Amino acid sequence: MASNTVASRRNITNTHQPSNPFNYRKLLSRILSYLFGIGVSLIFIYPIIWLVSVSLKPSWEIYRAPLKLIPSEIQWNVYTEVFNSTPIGDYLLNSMMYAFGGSAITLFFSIMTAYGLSRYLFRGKRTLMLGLLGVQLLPNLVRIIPLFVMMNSLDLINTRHGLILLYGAGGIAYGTWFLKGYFDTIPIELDEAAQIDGASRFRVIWQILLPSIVPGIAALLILQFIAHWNDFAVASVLIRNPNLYPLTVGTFNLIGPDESDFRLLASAALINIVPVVIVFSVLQRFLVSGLSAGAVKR
Amino acid sequence: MNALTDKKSIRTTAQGNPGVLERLLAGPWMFILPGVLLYGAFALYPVIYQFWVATTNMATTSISRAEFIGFHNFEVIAADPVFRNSFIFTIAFVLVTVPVQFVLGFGLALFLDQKLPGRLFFRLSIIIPLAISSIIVGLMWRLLLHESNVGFVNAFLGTLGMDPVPWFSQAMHARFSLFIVNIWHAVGTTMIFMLGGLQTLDQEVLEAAEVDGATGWQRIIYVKLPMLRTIAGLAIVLIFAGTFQIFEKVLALTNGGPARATSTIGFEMYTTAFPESGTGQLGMGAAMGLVMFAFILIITIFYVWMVIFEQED
Repeated sequence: MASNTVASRRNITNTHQPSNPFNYRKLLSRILSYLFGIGVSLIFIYPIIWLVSVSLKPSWEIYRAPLKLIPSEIQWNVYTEVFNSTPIGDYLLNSMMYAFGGSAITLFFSIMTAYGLSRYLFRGKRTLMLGLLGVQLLPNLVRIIPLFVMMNSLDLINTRHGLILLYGAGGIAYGTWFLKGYFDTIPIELDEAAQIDGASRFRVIWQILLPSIVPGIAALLILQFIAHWNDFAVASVLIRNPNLYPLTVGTFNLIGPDESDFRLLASAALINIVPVVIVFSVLQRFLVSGLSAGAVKR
Repeated sequence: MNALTDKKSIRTTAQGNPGVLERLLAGPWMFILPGVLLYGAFALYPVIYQFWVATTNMATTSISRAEFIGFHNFEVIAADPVFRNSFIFTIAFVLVTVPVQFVLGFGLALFLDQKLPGRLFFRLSIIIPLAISSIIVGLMWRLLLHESNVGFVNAFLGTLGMDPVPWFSQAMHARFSLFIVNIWHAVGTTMIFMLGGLQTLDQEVLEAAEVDGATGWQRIIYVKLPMLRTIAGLAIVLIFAGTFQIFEKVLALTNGGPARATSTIGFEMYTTAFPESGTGQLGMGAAMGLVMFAFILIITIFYVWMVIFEQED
């Protein structure tokens, strides 16, 4: 009986190790895999690289040689022109302000709410958690008309703080779920030990919990920042004053429905794209685990 | 006896029976309430308020003078051929996009799930478009699909000996352009979710299936997919809700044209409530928003129900 099990186990390992060390089929499938991978990557990246090329080409080459990737002469001046002759620099600063302000507000309230949900047991906790999730899943686009009316009656249309407040408030449910997951990984005994030593709950949060979840805080801040940086719908409704436009709304209005200056279109789009793509690429490992964390952990 | 009662009553006033405010400040609500109230005010309340706006004749010029007009807005949009076309187009677009995007995203996830050096680079390139704003994706593809010889795609097809494709000027082509651009932008979401799921699968189960002689396809369809049903459901719900709200890509890519052929519910809602010029019909836009809301709500309820169901398992 025992020898039988050993035999079958050996059988299993045998099927796993190829008897032939030089396996042509495996080599071929490897090569096909790489060809496929490179093809797929090009589909997703090449449009952006081509856009860079268009923005740097001399105008005549955009029409004569649209496929040529390396311009015969690299002209950086389109970027200085865009910054000098359009208010895109102001739009960039506005976007940074809105995205950072909104993320900071979300972070502050999410830390508090996530702490309360992670460290206390109380009646209705599960309902509250599911309620936050449910409201979070309601379509964002549906909110823009009532938000416009609300902000209008609060006199917050065309104000920086109005948009920052909206961004900050809107992220709280996501931030709470996100940070609660991180708080839950820290044993509550750590809090209790500190509280016995006389630390207040706020000191426990500030000095014990937050330092241990820095990766989570950073991931939340960056994900929220990117979301606000990319927002168009809410900002275009609330901000009607061109001086206060964020980058997305400003770029869209700059280009309009009729784009005849292709270098302007390409460079303005890249000014939007490049900062987020760099941040996203550098931190991808870290952000991707954050993106799917809530779903996979269960 | 008397002294005892006195003492008791003193103790009650001093320690027991704390006020409502004190009780709130002592417990979890001190931490939870500020965030929940703020979220409720700016995320939940607008959704409820939308129902009121949709039953009024509110316009951008007469917000404070809005009058209740019942279901009139719904009657108007139901009879409006432009809105009906955008409604039909949105449904058709979702029905085509959801399965295609799921299959492509899952396929890419399966590809990236093998031990291949350099796969992190492949994964990164697939998710890079996710970092780009929808409105900018629309703008950049307007250039890539430009019908003149400036557009990359037509120039590329030209080198293959093909005629230029009218990406925007013909209705079916414009719809196809929107479909392609949307897949390019969003397929990474499905891929991330499914890859995350695949990497949590129990390797022993997969090996057992392999030992039992299941082929690659059989392992995907009969072993991997059933084990991933929760995450697959979530991915499908997210694609559904995201595609149903499509609006910025329409605005930047086709502006709803040609002749409103690519107009979606979201696009109609936005342009009705906030037109480029003239008075915005907020009440009418809100009614259109509620039509969109109803469809997404059904899927959301299904999803929340699924989460509860899985947790109780």
